[in-house]
Amino acid sequence: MVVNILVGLGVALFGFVLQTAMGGINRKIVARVQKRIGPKWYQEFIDIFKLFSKRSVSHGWIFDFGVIMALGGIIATAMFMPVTANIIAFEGYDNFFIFVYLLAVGMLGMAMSASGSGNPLASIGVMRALTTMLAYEVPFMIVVMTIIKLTGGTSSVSEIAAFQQIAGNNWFIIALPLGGIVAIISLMGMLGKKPFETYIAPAEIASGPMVEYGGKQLGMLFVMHEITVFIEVSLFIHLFLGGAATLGVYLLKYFLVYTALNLISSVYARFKIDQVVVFFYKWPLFMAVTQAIIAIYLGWVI
Amino acid sequence: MSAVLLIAVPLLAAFISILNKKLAPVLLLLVSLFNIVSIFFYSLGTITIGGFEAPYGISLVLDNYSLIGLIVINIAFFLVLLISYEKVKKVATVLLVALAGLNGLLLTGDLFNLFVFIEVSGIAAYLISTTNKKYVATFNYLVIGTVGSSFYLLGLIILYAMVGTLNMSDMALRISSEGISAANLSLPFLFMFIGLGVEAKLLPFNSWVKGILGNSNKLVGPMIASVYAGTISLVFGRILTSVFVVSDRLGLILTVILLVGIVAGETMAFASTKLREILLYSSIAQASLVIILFLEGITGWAVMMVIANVISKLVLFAIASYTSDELKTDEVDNLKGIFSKNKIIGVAFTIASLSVSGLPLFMGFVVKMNVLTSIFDGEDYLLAAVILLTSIVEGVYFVRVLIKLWYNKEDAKTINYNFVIKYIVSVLAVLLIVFGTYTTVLNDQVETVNEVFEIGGNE
Amino acid sequence: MNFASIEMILMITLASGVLAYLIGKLNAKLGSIVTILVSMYVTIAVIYFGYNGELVITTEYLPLVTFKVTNIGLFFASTVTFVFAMVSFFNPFFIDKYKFKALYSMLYIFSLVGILGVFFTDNFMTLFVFFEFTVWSSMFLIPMGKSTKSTTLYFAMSTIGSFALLYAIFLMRSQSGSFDIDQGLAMVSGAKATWTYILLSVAAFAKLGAFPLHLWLPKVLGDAPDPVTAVFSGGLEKLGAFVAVMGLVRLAPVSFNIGAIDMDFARYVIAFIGSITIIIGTLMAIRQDDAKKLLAYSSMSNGGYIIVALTIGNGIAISGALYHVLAHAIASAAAFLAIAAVARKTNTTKMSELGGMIHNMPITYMVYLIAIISMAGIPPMGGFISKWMIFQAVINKGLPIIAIGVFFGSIGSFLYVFRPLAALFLGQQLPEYKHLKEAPFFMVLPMIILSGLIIYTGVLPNYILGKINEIVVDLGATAVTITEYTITGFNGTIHPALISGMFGVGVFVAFLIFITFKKSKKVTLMDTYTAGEFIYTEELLHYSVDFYAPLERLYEKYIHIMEKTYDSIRNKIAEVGHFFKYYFFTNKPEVSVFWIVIIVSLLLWGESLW
Repeated sequence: MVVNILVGLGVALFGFVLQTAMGGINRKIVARVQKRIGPKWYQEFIDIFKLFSKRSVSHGWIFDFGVIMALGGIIATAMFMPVTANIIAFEGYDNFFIFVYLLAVGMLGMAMSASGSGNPLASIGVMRALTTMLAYEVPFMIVVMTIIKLTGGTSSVSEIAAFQQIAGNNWFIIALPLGGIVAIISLMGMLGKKPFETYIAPAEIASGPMVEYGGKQLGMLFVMHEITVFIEVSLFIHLFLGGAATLGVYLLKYFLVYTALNLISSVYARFKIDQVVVFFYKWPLFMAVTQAIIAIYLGWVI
Repeated sequence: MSAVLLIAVPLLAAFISILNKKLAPVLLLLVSLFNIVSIFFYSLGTITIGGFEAPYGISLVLDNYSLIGLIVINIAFFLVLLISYEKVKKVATVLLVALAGLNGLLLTGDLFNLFVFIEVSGIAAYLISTTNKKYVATFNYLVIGTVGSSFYLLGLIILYAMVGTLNMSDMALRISSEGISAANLSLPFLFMFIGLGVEAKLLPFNSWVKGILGNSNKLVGPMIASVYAGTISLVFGRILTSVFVVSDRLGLILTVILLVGIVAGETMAFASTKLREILLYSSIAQASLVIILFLEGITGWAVMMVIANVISKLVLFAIASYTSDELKTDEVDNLKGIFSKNKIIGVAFTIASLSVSGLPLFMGFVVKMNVLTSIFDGEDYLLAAVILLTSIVEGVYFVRVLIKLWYNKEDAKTINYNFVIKYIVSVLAVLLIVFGTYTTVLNDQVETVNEVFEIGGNE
Repeated sequence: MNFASIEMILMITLASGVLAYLIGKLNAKLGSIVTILVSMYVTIAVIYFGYNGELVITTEYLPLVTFKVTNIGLFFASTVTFVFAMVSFFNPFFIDKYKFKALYSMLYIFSLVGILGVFFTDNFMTLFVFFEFTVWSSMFLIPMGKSTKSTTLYFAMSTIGSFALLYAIFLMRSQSGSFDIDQGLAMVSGAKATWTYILLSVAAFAKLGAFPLHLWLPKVLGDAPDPVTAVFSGGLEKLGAFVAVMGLVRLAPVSFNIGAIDMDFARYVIAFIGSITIIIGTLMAIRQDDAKKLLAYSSMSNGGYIIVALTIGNGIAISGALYHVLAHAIASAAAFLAIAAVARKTNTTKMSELGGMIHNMPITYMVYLIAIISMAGIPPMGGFISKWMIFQAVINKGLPIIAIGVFFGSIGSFLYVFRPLAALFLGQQLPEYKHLKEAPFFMVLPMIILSGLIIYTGVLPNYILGKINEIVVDLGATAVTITEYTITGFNGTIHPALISGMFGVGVFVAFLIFITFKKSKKVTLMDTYTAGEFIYTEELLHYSVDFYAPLERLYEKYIHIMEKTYDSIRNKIAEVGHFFKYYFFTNKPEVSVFWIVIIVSLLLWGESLW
């Protein structure tokens, strides 16, 4: 058990380091798209360490407690995430729904802390974040439901990844094309990338939930955000891109997915929050349901 | 002692009371009390009047059916007298005649005698209703009542011409032995049905009900709605079960009239805002329901329903009329919150209305459940559905009234109920609860009533 | 006097109801303390004797009543009586707000009596009698709260349900010959079976507050006194779930099987209605300003989950539904009690009028937080276990349309449970409530017990699931595979203790990180980022009105459809009544003669008409 916990914490740490590095590299790439040079690839690390070294203000016990709960929840979620077929802390217990809901715990902690700061802009940001979540989760879950049925009834993330690696099976992004498209759009919503960046909306609501944070609280929230991105992209890789047999393949797939999404979002503006909801409940939901009916009842899987 | 005394003594007292107006009310009370006590000393059986043997002479029948009816009606009559004693003083003579008429209705075994007693109690009812001081309504009642009894007489004449006898049991025998077809009998029976239906408050013959009971005082209300209604229902029941032969077409028409009556009664009550109106439309619906039960042959439980209604309507109308007498209004919105200051009256009213709606713990529920069981046994799913659907409507308007009368935002009007009415309604309410929980008593009585009609003449 | 006899428990409770009334006449608070003692007694007796198999079912005094202890009856009875007991602790603190104080105590206990009768009988007539008894005892508790208008609506809808149940009971009796529950459900067949299924579903919907009989739920729960609301949501609605189990699970399928999903068509229709219930409940909850109405719509939504799970009908689905009954009952009771604790001193439950309560009532806040984490289905609380099992069942059957509703409800619940948290407990502290203190000990005690139970059902569910497995086997489905710590569903296994444990580890690591670095400086709530503006009023800085405005605007236009439909039905009935009055009741005798003539002519010459 202790070994499992240590492996899990190792995965969390690995995820944090990986994503922070990836984030930094992406900042350079996006800068080149925008004809700038961009910061160094380790800029994000420096930012986080700077924040931890500063002294900030706190608005009460719930303000601090929420941040701890947020980071704690996310670390717990990351502990369950498989990296490759071999690096997995708790084999057999990495259910898809556990990830969805433990992420929610983290979000809840952050939301509590943000609202507890007393700034209405933070509450507005949380409201938008929750509404965005309502929008992108439902189509995504329907596509995952299709996947679970197709793999013969397993919702363990590592087993789904293993299923795709069996010879003769395509990656689900190819086998379920409509579902794949929906998944990419939902992933962008999850990551909070433009055009779904409404909940932060720096110019409108002063960064939304983050408005009152500074110092170590903000540092912890940055760490939380990085690990969240790691979990979400990782989920996408395991569910749709066939997982990874070795660490190198994993890093490559991660880099490709994250950079591709970043490039897409760098050319978009931001949606309003009701546009986000309407958008997701039109075509993505329709495509997800169609995909489910096609794949489950008609059996047309590529 | 012969049961004739139940009719003769009140008539005699009526004549005596004309001589002394002051003594009349006291005489009335004593006679009524005598009636109640003497019932327990009579022996069952047929009583011939004047020595002429049946079927040539008039006979009175005292069997279990009429016994139950007599006990309940006489006690109810007495209680109404107690409640409305001040009003009684003016019409004491008339009330004695009414008492005679009601007892006669229950006892008689001869169809023409029935007509006589309908007229006697009818005229008494018209005179009693004049205490309402709404003379147009009384006039309406008079006209309709006369029309009704004329129809009854017409039907009876045709029947006599066909069959040749006026005695109820004899008629039943002759109809079955001579093989007169039901289709031929349907016209006279329809006329007789109409005649009785006027007094029994069946739609569409009952336009008098709104005028009389809608403006009732505490004498008229309970008397007409509880005592008279119960008597007529029991009489109707006896005729329907022992004399009538119902052809298909007649049965269809009657069932339609009665079902429409139930639905109409409940919806009209739902649409009303005055307390007495709500109660009277509810009575109409209940009356139609009872008659349809007699028609279907569920005699025993129909009798229980009549008794439950007599008790509940007595309580409800007594309280409602008393209230409107004191406050001069019976719009429910104006009466908000009166029960919160008069808890005993409120509780009694609540119990009675919940019993009518058929909520458990009360007599009305037991009756309704057994009635439904019998209906389902007879596979009449439509009737059961109609009963249940209208019960929903009934429950809703009663609860609406109850909530308004118990809860108020501003100060409620104050009203003082005297000791007599409080005592009587509480006893009756407790009776409803007792019969609702100790159902063995009811079951036994139902058995005895059903036996009467199995041995005697039946359809 | 055998204390383990159900009849004895029932009679003692009934007598204490009257006793509570009499004592309450002298001193209202003492009367309400009687309710605490009685409900604690009933709960302990039922749970202790029931789960040791010692409950005696012979009846010596009560006529016509027969009892039977079934696993499912015991499960429901334990849950509901437990909720009654916990909520009863609040009664003495709220008793002064009611108009009829002694009556309140008596009716509270009478509602409990009805529960015992419904769950512990094998005879339909007994069930119906006690069912109605509970309905009208609880009905008269409602108007003692804020407003009296919703009582009639509750009675109307509840009676529709009750009479549907009654008709179904009689239909079953006509085929089985008796009022016995097991026989009736087993022997009904053919067209009668279809009608029985429909009627039992109507009855279940009416009690659970599912679409389309949901209109009474927010109005009643919003208007009733606060403890009564908790009892309604946590206890009395479960009567509907009990009827649903009878109608949806124990009745054999009544129509054709849809091959693609291997599900009976009639059951799919009900599942679809359940799914709509979830969606409507969630959407309506999101837009509520009154915290009690919000939680009421949440109850409606959770009722929908139970219906969907029961219609799927296999072992995991039924376990999920029953576990959800338990988890929702205690979470809902805890949430309502927390709101009640706030409302006791502030006299309002509208979120637009409150704010920052966490600084006055931190324990109440934690209770509410734990409750809503469970209601949203987030680990490590009990709601996650039940929702996970329901998801397993839905996904295994492959029902995409139903899944939309189920997932939507699940995510949407994050939105509406968060709203009272942010608007009522967090945010700015309003000056008029700054002086309020935490709730008194005897109010905090039941809330803490409920919270502890919520956490227990989330971390160590396997003991209770074992009991539920016995019920599942009784109902004829396969039991859920459970080991001491894990639960295996159709497509995965979860280890709740592990999840909670890792959550603990994560929080511990985060806490270590937190304390390693420099301590923060404490500032007040008003000292926030305002882009250079000066502000002095707290209300302007508190975001609580129209919390989800952009989302609400998307469906604003459609929210009054059901209410308008019911109003028009009511008006139609009144119109029919007026019609009859107009045509039949005038002061002119000619009208009656006219009708007599019509009827006679129908008799004589009616044949030529048809």
